[in-house]
Amino acid sequence: MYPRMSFGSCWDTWVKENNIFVTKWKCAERNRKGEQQDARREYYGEMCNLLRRVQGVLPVTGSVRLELAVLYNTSLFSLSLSDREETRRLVVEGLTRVLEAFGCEPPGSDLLVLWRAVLQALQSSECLSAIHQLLCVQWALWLTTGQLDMIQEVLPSHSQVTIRSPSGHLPPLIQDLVFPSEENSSLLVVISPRELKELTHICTLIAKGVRKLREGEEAEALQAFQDAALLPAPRKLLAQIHTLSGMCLAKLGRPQSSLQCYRNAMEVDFGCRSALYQSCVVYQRLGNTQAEMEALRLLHSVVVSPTSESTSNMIPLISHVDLLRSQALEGIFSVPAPVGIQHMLAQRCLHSGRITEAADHYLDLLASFQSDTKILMIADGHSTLPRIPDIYLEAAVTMLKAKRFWDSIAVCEEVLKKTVELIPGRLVLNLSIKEGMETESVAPSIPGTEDFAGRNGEAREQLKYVLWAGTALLIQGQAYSWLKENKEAITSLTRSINLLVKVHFLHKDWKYGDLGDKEAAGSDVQALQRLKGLALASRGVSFMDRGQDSVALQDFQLSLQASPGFESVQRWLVHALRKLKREDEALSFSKSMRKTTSEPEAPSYPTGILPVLLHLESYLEDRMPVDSELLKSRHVWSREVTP
Amino acid sequence: MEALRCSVSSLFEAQFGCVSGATAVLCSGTDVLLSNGSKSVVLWNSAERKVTGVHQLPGAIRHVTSSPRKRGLYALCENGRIYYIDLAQHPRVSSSPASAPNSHVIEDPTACSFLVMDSILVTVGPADGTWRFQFYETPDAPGTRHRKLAERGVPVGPVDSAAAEANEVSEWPALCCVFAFSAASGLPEGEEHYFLESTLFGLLFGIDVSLVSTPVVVCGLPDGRLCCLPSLPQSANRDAKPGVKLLHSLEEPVVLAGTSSGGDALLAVSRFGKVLIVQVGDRAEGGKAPVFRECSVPGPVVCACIGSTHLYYSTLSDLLALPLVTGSSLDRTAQENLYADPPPSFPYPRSLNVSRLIALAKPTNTSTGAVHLVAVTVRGRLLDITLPQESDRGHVPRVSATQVGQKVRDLLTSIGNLSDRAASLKSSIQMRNEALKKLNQVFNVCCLLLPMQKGSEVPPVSKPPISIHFETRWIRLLQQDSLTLQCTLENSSSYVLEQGWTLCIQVIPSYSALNPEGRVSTKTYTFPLKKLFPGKNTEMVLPLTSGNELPLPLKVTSSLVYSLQSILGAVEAGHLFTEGTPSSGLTSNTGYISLTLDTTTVDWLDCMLVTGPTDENSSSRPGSASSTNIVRTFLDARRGERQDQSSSDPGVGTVEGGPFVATIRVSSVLLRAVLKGTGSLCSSLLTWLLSGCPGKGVRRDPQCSVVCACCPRGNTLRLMAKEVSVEDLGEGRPIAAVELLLESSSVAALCGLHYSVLRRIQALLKEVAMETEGPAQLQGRGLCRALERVEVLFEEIQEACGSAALDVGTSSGITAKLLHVYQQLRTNPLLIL
Repeated sequence: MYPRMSFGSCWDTWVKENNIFVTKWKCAERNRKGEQQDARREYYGEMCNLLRRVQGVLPVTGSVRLELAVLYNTSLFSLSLSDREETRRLVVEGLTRVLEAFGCEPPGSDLLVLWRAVLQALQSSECLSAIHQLLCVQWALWLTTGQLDMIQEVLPSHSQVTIRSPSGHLPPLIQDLVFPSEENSSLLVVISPRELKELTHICTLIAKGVRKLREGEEAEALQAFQDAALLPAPRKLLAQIHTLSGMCLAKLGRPQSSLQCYRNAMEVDFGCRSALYQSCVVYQRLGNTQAEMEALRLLHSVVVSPTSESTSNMIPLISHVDLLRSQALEGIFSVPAPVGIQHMLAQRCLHSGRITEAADHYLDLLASFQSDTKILMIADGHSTLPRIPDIYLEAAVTMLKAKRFWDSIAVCEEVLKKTVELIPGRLVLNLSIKEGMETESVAPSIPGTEDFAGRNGEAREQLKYVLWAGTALLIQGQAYSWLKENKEAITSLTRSINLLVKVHFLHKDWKYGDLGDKEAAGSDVQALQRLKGLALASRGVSFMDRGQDSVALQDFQLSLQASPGFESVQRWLVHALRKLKREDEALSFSKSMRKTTSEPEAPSYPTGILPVLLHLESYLEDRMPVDSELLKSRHVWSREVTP
Repeated sequence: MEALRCSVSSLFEAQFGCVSGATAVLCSGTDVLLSNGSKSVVLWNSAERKVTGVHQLPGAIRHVTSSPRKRGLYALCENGRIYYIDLAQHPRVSSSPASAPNSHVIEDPTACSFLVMDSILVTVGPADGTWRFQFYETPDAPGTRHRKLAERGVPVGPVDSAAAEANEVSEWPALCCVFAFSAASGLPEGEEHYFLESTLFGLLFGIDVSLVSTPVVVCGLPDGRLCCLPSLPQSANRDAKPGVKLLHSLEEPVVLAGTSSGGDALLAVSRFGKVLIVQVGDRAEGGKAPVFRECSVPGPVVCACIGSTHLYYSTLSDLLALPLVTGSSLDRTAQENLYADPPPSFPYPRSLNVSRLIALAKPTNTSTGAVHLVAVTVRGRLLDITLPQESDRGHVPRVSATQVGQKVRDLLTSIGNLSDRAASLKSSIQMRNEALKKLNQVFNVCCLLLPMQKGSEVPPVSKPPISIHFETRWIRLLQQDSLTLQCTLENSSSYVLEQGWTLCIQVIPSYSALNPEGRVSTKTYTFPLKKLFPGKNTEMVLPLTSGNELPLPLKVTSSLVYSLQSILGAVEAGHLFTEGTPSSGLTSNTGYISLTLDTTTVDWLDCMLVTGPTDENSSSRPGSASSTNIVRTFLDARRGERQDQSSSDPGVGTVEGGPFVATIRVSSVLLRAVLKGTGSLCSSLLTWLLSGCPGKGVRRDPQCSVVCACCPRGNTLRLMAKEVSVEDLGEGRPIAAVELLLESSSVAALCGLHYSVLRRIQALLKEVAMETEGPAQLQGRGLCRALERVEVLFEEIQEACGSAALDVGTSSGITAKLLHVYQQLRTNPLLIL
């Protein structure tokens, strides 16, 4: 019980006030009023007033427990309001007064020194548990400021506690902090010290793990997260711990274990989107498209559904969110925006050949582009949303593959409307290997445009315009061709080719392969060549349909010039030669063809125009006439190559 | 600069001044929203032509915008909170629920401006070295808290980084929202909503944004940078955060960003008059490119708005209209001209001759083609400015002669009206000035006379700056001598006693002159002053005798009175008196200032008419009066003093009697200490006593120690002074004294004279007591003898009183006895030391 002294009546009043106040707060918390900052601020103000009164009298040992309890409550409020400086001040002042009460000289305002002195002075005092309460606040404070090591430094001098814990992560004192159960205390507190200790402990482990994860020491991080997972924690936090463990495991090359962790996380908290997203990433890496799409579908439905936050549990005064704020976990747990997820889903469908589904997703996506004004606003830095024209073109290809040719043409028309006007009459790209990254620069164009993106980026962007417009026209051409509108097809393809030849490179000896695949510009240049070849070949096919075999032959030849080693084109060329009764040439070309053909590189998903082009290449195969001779040659070729 | 005439009409005058930058005026339909940087938003309805609502907010408003979808408004207060007021729910409430401190929808302490788009609210403000843009979702129930969606940042420029760190930004960012124009979407509504044709939109903001129907936020920062967002990262740096794309830098604070009405140009205006116009231009090698043109116009630009053909901006001293180049994209020649110096085709702004505008709303075109501009002046007046029709611009409008005549007549009428108003204003100002001048004079005079208002009768040591001097005079009027009092008011101060001051003289008779009702009949004379300039004096004469009565001694008090009504001009005061209600404060009794000047007493010595050193009448018959005559004369005199009998007995007061004698002895030391005149002590005493006498000039020989005089009722009086030595009083040696012998045929005259002389000597003693040391030591024996003598007389009085009470003996006997005692007292006086 609280000792009654001569100041008794006064202290009794303050004890009563403190208790009434805490009861009132708990009531407000239950009614969910306590989540508002204003309410917290109001309670904080009241608590401060009480503390000021309690601290108005000289510190004596008799009042230390009361004062520490009030201080504990007050500092928790200030901590919950993220007023770290004020919390620090409160603790320093409180500790100084405690020392004065026990007749010790305060050793200054350094927190570490103060804490050591206080713990030394109160070793055997009955106020020890009260001071341990405050130590938890201090711990939480250090956690929020990211000073993880401070808590360990307080304790070495405190040798009284026997080492019991096998875990080397935390000083034993912390593990052994024992608090009397609340019912025994006549002094009420807003959060029970045990709860606070547990929360702080778990958050410390997480913070440590996250730090290790960032430093690239996944094994240590995993250890920290697994330790944390053993401690009691709120569901949301536990789900996050599982997710973090999963990330560590994924990085350690244990995808199955990591998937298990994500599953655990989902079991604990269904709303844990990051776990779902991370499992998508793992599935993708594993090449398990089926499972990846399942997960993506699930993720999309979760993200699109109205936020479940409103139905979640009440937010406590101090939550793990407050304590881990300095760790910037949002970046780790971030999930792409709904539109990004839908795009991923659509793209996976397209690449895995689920064309109908992909078409639906792309149509949804395009519709939301037109109706939802927020899309680009909320697409934040972690979004994987590609360039919008790329998405349009992917959609157009999907339509083409789904035999919805008119839809495809319409989608391309949208892209053309925006891009064609922006394409200069002549685009000169200076590709000089010497300058490394800064490989391209615009040949002097209009001086007035220097203000506006007068950098290398402009030419690169214009190259993209060319690619987009060219691809759109190519898709249109193919679509018309499927629709047997050969005249239209040839017009579109001619336009495409005319656009593509506007681009000139200053260094003729440059080869796209030299820059490496990672180079975005390189991939664009590569795409340009490929697109040129494709467009020419497609036009050749259309000419063949019209019976203009010689013109078609010319196109095929040009196509192979632009993009050498194109197998289907080569076969089309042979086909054209044969139709022109130039069997000898055909035969000799077939022979040479075998030598030059190389295995086409495996498609890698990422973004850009190349995956779209890969889909367009199949057109040449699809339009190939069922010609026994051609087939035969193909078989021959494949048989010879395969071994 | 070619001036343009436009008509201006005042719609409404708010009772406040406006804070530059925070003042905003918005038009949505018939509603005009007015905010001046104070805590309230005023809603003025142009259809009803009246204020329809005043909405109070908890803090000073920094920025206010109407919500585009619903009928409501958002206001950002200085406490960093954005409030929403639903005008449909609270159309005319003076203090809406939004004024509750916690009813904000967004709390963003760094925000200094914001923009409301379709379903998004964007705030911008300096935070941690960046200009931070925060996106909030506007929910369907607009009163609820808005959820934050995302945030972007652009590092602050070197110029304003210091200011941004201190979170003190003097210039605020200018935000606008730009939609890509497409026929299907229709025109956007809202003050800060603009549209741009799609080619320019794509060129400026990127192809990604143009493919999505997202509007773009264009923000002009105080450091002059013009940036836009959202902006997707370009392929070159895919890892970079989607940020903010910089379009241009004007290097001066941006006041306005927007687009031309045709959507063919993006415009930005900077504080010191740089105008940026971005249009689509043709490249030399084909294709399109944005063309950035800057021109300078006379600044500083306080506020600006974009109309259909012109950019309107205010420099406080004038409203200017800058014609915007209309038409589609620039052709090649126009581009070439860009680099010519100066650009030859660039238009110059025209003055509209409206000054002191601090905020402009987006102009509207009426059906007739005229442009309406709603603007706010520095003083908070809401103006409706109508500009002439578009077709009128550039060439002289053709009007018929009758129209011209009508116009001239209209103009003349309005000039006349204006000059009338000006004249009345001028006169009212003049009146006020006059009143203030008068008040100042009055106040100064009050201050001068304030030391004399303490009520003490002791005259101040120095002469007061405004003083009054009294002099009695005998004048002969209608065969009758009458006594007049001449008052001389002397203004030796440096202030003019203006018209409106009144000299007020009160004559209060002594206790004896009670009227039948038993009241003192006080007479008050007032003399309104005409301007009394410094150094000048004015004289006034007032009668003291009324009929035959002269109730001496008279107390005369004088004061200066100022009526506050005089502050107003005569005309106005007249109005007040004739039309003013009795309760009017100015006409009530309190509107007076009264300052006491001086208080004097007029007594017998002031009224005597000195006839000379000898008097035939009195000297020829000295001591001729018998004892019976004495009684009769005394009785007559007594009766004469009673007013009820005075009218019935005209001969009273002229009855010869006496001679009665009274003596006053004053020590020579005392007199010598006071009277510093040359010559004998006796004569100087007489001169001093008679100094206030009307006929003192008759005393030809000042050395003579005898004076004869005639009292107001004609009784003769004689004053004789002689030097004596009193032996039985002093210790050892005799005391030199002056004996003043008063002699008169009338008891009343003698009494009055004796009283007057004693009063003077009393006053003298007061002075002397201060100057000289205590009197010489007196002989106790002499004093005892004098005391015994007085005691005997006292017994006699008591005896007479007793017999009168018991009705023993005749009344005449008692009277004679009392008279005897009186004479005994008067003839054997004590020596005044």
